This record gives sequence, structure tokens and C-alpha cells, in this order.
Amino acid sequence: MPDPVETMSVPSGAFRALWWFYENSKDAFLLMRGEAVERINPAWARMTGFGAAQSDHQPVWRFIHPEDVEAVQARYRALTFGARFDCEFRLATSSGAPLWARADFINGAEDWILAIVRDISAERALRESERRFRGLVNATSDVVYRMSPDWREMRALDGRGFIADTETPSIAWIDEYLLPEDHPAILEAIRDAIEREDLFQLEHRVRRVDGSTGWTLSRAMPIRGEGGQIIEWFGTASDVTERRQAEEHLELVAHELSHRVKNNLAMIAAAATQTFRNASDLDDAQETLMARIEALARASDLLTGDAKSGPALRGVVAEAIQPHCGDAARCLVTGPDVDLPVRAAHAFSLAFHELATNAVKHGAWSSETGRVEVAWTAERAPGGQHVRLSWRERGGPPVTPPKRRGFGSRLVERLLAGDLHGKVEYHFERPGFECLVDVPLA
Amino acid sequence: MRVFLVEDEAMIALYMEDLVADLGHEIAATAMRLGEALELAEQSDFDVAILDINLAGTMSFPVADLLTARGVPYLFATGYGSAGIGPPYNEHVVVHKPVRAADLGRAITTATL
Repeated sequence: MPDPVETMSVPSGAFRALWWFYENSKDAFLLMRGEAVERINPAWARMTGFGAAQSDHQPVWRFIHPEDVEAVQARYRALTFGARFDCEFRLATSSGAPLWARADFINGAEDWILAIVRDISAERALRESERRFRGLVNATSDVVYRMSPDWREMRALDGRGFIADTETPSIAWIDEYLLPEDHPAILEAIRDAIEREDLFQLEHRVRRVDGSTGWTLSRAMPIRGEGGQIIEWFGTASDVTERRQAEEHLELVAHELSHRVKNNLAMIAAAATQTFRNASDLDDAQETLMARIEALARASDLLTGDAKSGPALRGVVAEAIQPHCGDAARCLVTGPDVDLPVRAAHAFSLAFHELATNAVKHGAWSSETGRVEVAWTAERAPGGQHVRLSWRERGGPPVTPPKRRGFGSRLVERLLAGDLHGKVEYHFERPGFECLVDVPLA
Repeated sequence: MRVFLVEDEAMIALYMEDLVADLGHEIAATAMRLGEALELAEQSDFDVAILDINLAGTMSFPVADLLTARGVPYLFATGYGSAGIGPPYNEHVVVHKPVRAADLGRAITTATL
């Protein structure tokens, strides 16, 4: 079969034009005969760094990255007359750095093959970056949104189940996603970002998919077109609702704590004032006050203890009187197990401290032999139980009714009768001081 | 003046009672819980009330409302900052805990003007 090139009739003007095109094209042209390079153009030399001296009569595979040769070779060898294929591969260059290229291989005549080669490294880099970006967008749990340059129109939003999605451009997005009272502050931040042509960043409230109000940290950057003008804003918004709620809760706790601290200081101030008012001398006052502050500290522990199972009455009694009477034989505590609500435990703790203090100063524990018997019974009552408790002092000095009501006895009454809605009776008779308490427990 | 005291801490209640007595006033009644306070606010005869705000976890504002309806003046004694009191209650006199005698005296005078 005659060589088609030899037999082709091409007008000489057209041939010159084609030749000029071949020499001056921005695309690299590579003409092969069989698998050997027959002719290159200047664009090829610029692209690969290999001129005619290094290229001519070389096997074409020398110019393809070794890892890509096999794939190109298979299709190259399958090329039949008039057929073509294109593929992407890495070119080997004179600098040693591979260069991504796309080539069109055309079998134009018998064993003549033309390759038109384009540098696609920039395009590949862009595609890579886009793939990474897609990956990032898919991987993030953040809301992703696009806004028109003036933010009037939301072009798209992927809400990630946090807020509602939108695929169609919307100018009602402000009403849809934001709370009316937040509009001014958010619009101001947007105006500011547009003016600066730079990062928009704001933590604000949003309407969530379920209709509730959430918090989001929203950040958007301007995307610029070829001319440098902003073509849109691209942003992400994280759901920071939980963090905000935790912060709000913390604030509430801090506020409550401040209240409690002041309340405790008020109690200490009250205890101090009352102690000094009733004390016989400074030493006595100091000791009584310290003991009262300790009692307040103990009672305070009860308020913050594990609320599920209330403190046991027995434990509260024992702890409150232990600092005043170290001898178990002079302190008999009997009664069934009763769990106290924390509030009642607090009141009992302070009340027993006062009763014990009184016993040390004036009662059974002021003598060598006196003892105290604490006993109680518990009965079921509507809405809870009823506790009847007695504090009996025996074997102490003769009892005399006090000339005036002391702070301690008033406090016991306030704690158990006032605070716990119980009844308190005092008996100052032989054989010893008695305090009878009748308290309903919820 | 006859004073109605609402205070949930026994120790502070006693202190306040003594403070009121020291100032030359008289305690008409003391309540430590909201229900009791509402009852006494309606039934007792007094010229001014001192209200603790947090009564074992419940707020005493219903007592304030009742007193407003009865036209009896009142003041707050609280460990909360003034920020813890919203309208319309923030128009009333507030003494901060721990309360001092002179402050309480002035507050009673101002509240009953």
C-alpha cells in the first residue's frame, strides 16, 4: 500500500500555512514515525526542555514518566490508521520534575503519528484543590453557605441538620434564619465586612430545623473574580449551641453561688452579732462564735451532699454533738433509721449544735457524770413521715429555768418549728432539761 | 412600726428580728416559707414588710404582689445583686445582705415614706 503522505496532494500555500502553524503553535507538537520521535516543534522544547537534538530519533517513551508509560503504550500500539485517542500523563522533563500533560494522539498515515501535547499542571492543581475543598466541605459538620456580594441573596446553604437547607437563591434568608431582635447587630456586622471586603465573623442566634433557637459561630470570606471584584461570599457556621448553653448555665451557677456566699456571710454576721450580744465575756464569745461557724460549715456540707439518699438522722445527730462530747457513754443515741431531706438535715445539724453547746455550758455535760439521751421514733404520715425526738439530760446539775430566753433556744425553735413546721417544747424540771421535738418530714 | 419579716434562714431571721427591735420597731410576724408568708401577709396587721427574695429555692415575688395589692409598703433584703431583681420590683428599696442596722433603719424609713 502506497504511503498516503507521499500520495496526498496538498497545495503549496496551504502546506506553508500548516507548517507555520506547526512551528508557532503554543501546543507542543510531536511527530512520530513508529515509536520514534521524528520532529518536534519549539513549544515542545519549551515545555520539556528537550530540543531537537535531545528529542529527534528518540523513542517517544523516553519523554513519558516511567509509571505512566505502560498505560499510554497500550493505547498507542493499538492505534490504527485514522484513529486517535487522548490521555493524561506525566511528561519527563529536562529538569527532572514531572509535568502533567494531556495529549491527543492521531494516527494520520500508516506509521505516522502526531501528538498534540498541552501542559495541564495548572488545571490539575485547580482540580486537586477543588477535590480537597469538596472533601473538606463534606467532612465538616459545619453549615456551609454562599452569599451574593451584597449579602442580600443567599445562593445556597447546606444546613447539616442544624438549620434548614436551601438550594434555591433566597432573599428571605434573614427572616428565615435569624431572630428579628438580632437583625440590627448581624446586619451591622455584615455591612462592616462588606466595607472592609474581609472576613465576616459573628456569634449569633439562629432558628434551628426543629424550630428552637440555637447559637452559631459564622465566618465568611469574600471570593474574588478575575478582576479582583467580589463575586460572592463563602462561609461556614458551626453549631455552638451547647457551648453557649454551658456558658449560660455557668453564669447562672456563678450568680447562685454569689448569692449563697452572701447568704453564708449574712449567717456568720448574724451568728457573730447574736453571740456577742449574749456573751458573758470576750473569751466566751470567741469560743462560742468559732463553734457556731464550725456548725454552719458542717451543716453547709449537708446541703451540698449527694441529694439522692438524704443524710441519716443518726449521722447528723452524731456529727453535730461529737465536738462537744467525746465520751460515748455520756451520749446515748437511739432511734430507727430515718433519711432526712437536706433542708431538714441542715436544720437538725444546727439545732443539735445549739443543744449540745447548752449542755456543755449549763447542762448535763457541765458536770462530771451527766449524760444526754437522744431518742426518736418515726411514723408514717400523709406525704411523708413524722419524727418525734427527745433530747433528755440526766445526771447533771439541778435544772433552773433560764431568766431570759437565750439565742440558742430561740434558734432551735426557729430551725425546727419555723423552718421545718414542727413543734418544740422545753422542760426545765427534774430530773433534767428536756427538749421535745415533733417534726413532719416531706 | 409593726414589721412583717420573711426570711428562710433561721439564723438570719433571728438576727433581723433583733435588728428590727433594736431600731425601735416591733415584729408583727415572721414567715420562713412562701406559703406561710402568703398566709401571714394577708392575715397579719403590720406597717411594712421585709422580704428575702429566695425562700428555700422559691422566689418571694408573689408576697410582694399581694402586699402591693393590699397597699402595704415593703423592702427587699437579699444576697442577690440588684441585677437579680427585675421590674416592677426593682422600684422598691433593697438592702443587701449582710444587713447592717443603720441601712435597715434607713430602708424602713424610705419604704414607708
